[in-house]
Amino acid sequence: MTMKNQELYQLLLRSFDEDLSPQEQQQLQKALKESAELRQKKRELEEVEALLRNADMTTTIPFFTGKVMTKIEDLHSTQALSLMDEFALSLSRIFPKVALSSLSLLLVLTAGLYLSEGNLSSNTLLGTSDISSELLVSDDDYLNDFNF
Amino acid sequence: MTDIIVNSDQHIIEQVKSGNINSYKHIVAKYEAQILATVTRMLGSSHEVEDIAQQVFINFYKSIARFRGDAAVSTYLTRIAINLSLNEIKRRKRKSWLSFFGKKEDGNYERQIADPSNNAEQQATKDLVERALERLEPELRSIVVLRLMEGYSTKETAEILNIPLGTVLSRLARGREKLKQIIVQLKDR
Repeated sequence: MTMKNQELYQLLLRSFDEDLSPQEQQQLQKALKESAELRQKKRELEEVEALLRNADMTTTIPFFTGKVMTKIEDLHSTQALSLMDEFALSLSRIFPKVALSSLSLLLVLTAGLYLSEGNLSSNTLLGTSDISSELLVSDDDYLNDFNF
Repeated sequence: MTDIIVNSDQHIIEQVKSGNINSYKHIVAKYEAQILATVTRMLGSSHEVEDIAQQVFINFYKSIARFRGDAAVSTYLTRIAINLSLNEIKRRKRKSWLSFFGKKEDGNYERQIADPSNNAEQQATKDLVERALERLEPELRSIVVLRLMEGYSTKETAEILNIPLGTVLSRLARGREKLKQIIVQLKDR
């Protein structure tokens, strides 16, 4: 194929998918009238296009929709499970930290209490060691107050 | 007409987004034939077609929360179908290399699904087109499939493949020419 023919063939190929300029269209029409070879190439390209258009490429898969939906439902339940797993995992990750912090706080408070009170008796722990005996009311006094 | 279809798809998608998974079956049923055809055109009649087509709908479902309806559902599905098919073609190439180095593959995956309802002439045309497409480089094949077989415009083809229009036009010209040569060769045999 000569250089000129090559250019015209490219123009022919472009004409299938692009809008050629009026000048290019005129050039192509003229070439098609004059060249039997180019007309033959045009016919071959049109035949290829028709062949592709008419090829029945349909594929039927039985129960396709049902199969897809089953997979999607599985995916959904897996996602829900993985969310629960993730929550449980994050809880198990955070628990040792919370437990350790609480224990440390308890130890610091106990140590502070021991340092300030000098012992760790039940009264000290309950915070009743500072209440004087005068403030304590016997059952009899309590009942007398209500004139029983 | 297109608006009605798009709106109806959009309505189904909103239902799916709000948790009604079962509504998604309407999308699958509506587009299964189209997607199966696209994947068959890309991969030939093989047993992978069903897996890939199923994966197209699963992938779309997974990304449905991000779907805003900027393009038609069919466009999104076609894009996923082409991408997954191109990945499958790469996987096949890798597999054939592995088999070259001694690892056996299951092979003969082409033309395993034959539709008995087709008559002999239709089947012959289908076989010829499948063989011709198979010989076309994947980047040319995807453009030929979208433009010449599925009827998308060159602009839509560029959008689906996410490549410039100029690239589509030049590849299309190359694809037409190469396909013509391949078909002539195959017919001469």
